[in-house]
Amino acid sequence: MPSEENIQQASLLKRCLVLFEVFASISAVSLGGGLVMLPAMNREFVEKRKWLTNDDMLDTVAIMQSLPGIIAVNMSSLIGSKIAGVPGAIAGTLGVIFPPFVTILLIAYCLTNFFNTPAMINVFKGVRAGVCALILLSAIQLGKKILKGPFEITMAVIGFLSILVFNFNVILMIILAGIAGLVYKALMAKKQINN
Amino acid sequence: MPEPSFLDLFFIFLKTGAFTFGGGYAMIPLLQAQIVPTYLEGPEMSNLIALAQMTPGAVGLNTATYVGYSEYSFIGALCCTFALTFPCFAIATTVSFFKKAFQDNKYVKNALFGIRAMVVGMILTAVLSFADGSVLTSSVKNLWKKGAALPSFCWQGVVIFAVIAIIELKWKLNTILSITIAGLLGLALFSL
Repeated sequence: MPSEENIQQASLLKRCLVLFEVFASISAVSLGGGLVMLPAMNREFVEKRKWLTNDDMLDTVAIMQSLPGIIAVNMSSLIGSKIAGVPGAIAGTLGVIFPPFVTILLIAYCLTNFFNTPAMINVFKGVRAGVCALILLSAIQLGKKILKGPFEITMAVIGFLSILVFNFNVILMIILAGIAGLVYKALMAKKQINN
Repeated sequence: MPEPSFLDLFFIFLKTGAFTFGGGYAMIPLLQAQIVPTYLEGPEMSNLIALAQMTPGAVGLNTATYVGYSEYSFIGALCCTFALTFPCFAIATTVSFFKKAFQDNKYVKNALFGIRAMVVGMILTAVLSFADGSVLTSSVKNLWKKGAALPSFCWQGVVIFAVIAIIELKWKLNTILSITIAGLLGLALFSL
């Protein structure tokens, strides 16, 4: 069995190509992206090539969860830059984007007219009802994990009403939620000191 | 519906890429709130998102490509996908050089504590927008408008909702399979 080149032996170009290839192949088959990609990443970079350690992966997961945006892109940027600097981050991210981008262009190009047929309109009504159930279940799961006290519940209610009833600017609401979190935690810390 | 200007669309995706925390489903209410009802009807947007879920790859990315393509064809797809990706790419790559400082930062943690809680509520609004025209006969959003009709349940949608919820709870099928079943049920029941 040919042994894999270790991270010092592999040229920058080679590392970038591998990053593109691995992220593209995982992105092409993974549904919903994000954390589902983790076991495959682990197999490729930790077990097979030994380019990363288990600790590297754990660090990546920890940091990833506090970064904004698409989880798969956060992962490709963090892992890519660890393996091959900024070029690696670019290669990995292009890998994540490429397969779904091409797939969707093909679907959109071929099927656009087909979507407005009466049969497809009914299919989509069914699909929306199904997705409605899927999102509700995942929101309940998320809620059980996150909404543990009156502060969290209040924030969730505000988030719900701000979109549904008031049409507030969502981006502004997210920023305010961040500030509210900071203030709340600071007040809690102060209270603890006073006690 | 006014056509979104190219720049509007670009900035909507750029902002969404920079301010979504939690990935996947967390991105849906943000996109809906910014695009519906100004540029796309609720059900139309929901269809694009549902389609994005049926295609391999991250839901947010797929939605950006679909919306971009449907408004401005190839160049729209390219720019919207780029706009959504760029902020998280830039932020993650930057952070990767300052991992230690970022990882245990208490301010980051506390801000996220507030954001995550609010996002749960926002995701619940996405549930209602998918119910529009499927489980319910009209949008719940109209309830606050004067003289709006009360939405009522649509039995076909309720049946599909229940079937998919039961399937998901009992067998946890992969999303594509569940959504395909929902689509076939829709074709059968709504054509009656």
